Amino acid sequence: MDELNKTNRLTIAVVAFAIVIIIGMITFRRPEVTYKLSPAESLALLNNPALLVTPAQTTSILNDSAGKYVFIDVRNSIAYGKGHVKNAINIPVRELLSKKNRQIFHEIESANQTAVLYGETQQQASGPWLMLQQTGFSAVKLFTGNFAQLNLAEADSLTRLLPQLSETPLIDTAALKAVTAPAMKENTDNKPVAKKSVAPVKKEASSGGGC
Amino acid sequence: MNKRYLFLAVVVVLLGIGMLFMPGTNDNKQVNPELLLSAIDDPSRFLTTDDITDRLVKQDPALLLLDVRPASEFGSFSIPGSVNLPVDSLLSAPAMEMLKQDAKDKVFCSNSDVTANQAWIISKRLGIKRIYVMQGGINQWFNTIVKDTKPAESASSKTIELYQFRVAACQHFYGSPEMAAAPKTEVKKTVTVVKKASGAASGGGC
Repeated sequence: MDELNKTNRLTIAVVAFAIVIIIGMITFRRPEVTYKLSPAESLALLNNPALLVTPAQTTSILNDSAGKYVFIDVRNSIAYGKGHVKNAINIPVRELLSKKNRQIFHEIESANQTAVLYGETQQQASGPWLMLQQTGFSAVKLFTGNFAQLNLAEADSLTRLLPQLSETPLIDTAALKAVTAPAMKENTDNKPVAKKSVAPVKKEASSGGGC
Repeated sequence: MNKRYLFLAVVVVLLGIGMLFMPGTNDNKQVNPELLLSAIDDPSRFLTTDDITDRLVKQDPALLLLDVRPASEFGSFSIPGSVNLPVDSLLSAPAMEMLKQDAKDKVFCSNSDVTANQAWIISKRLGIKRIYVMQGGINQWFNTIVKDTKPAESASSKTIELYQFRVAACQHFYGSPEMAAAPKTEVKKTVTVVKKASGAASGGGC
């Protein structure tokens, strides 16, 4: 009698255990969006000129009727409504990886087209661009300028600019010298006491050697 | 009775084997792409150049300003107090060690904020905490702190206050006629050189 009770309880426990696991397996879903590139691989993509579109290149792209490029506007819908590149698709940053938008990128890829991401600034589009690359969409390029530079009329005058427009150092060495130079000439200090005590020692030593 | 025990044991073992072949996720430690995307959309990671300067001047020990430009550019000009961490070596062991200091605010900066932002995204993906981006980058820092233009007399007191703060900060970093010594080591060096020179001149006079 006791033995029978024990077996029954054991059977119930095992069946319950099995049901829990089977339900878990049925409802388990892989995350829809996963990284296809490792961090090191994504890091290697940065500053790769083949993945960038300069303002100068946009002239030919905008005039190109073959439709090899699709512009993606990552700004919000209000900014998009005020003005955007002809035929550009509006995909705000937050909705970039939604099912519908991933479908758009899949279609672009299967049609052998290239998506060109632009935002208000290069900085705004660079995040979404890196996210798309990391999640496996390789036919995505980044526009390296501001939205204002996308105008057809303006694109012509931008031919001479460097590929990575906004990462060009703009340090004005003349201004830097103007700021650092006065410190070299005059030595009337009023704050750090510690340094004062160091300097006179050196002076004494050198003047003593001179005599 | 014995058969029943055997059957139950087999069922449990089979379930155990089945669980071994469950589809695994190997990037558990990484921030999931959707969360990362909403973090990208959140502008709170951007700190202004004035904020950073204020903390540099106060010598905030919790601030770690990381310059992600190549070493050559870092050599020609860098913000006093910043540390060079070229973006190519972001994933190297010493760099990771630096980034994993949870007690520090790591602020990325580059010439503009594009590369710094990308370095931020990759670090964020790896789950690193307390990381920020300097808005506008080093070019912006230079133009506001070192090369700021004097506001008009009629400007609001806030604008004038900000200008005075920037001038004071610039003097702190690079010295000025009134204040020759600055606490940054690079600047200290040049100051001692000057003093030596003046000492030598007086020696020549004797």
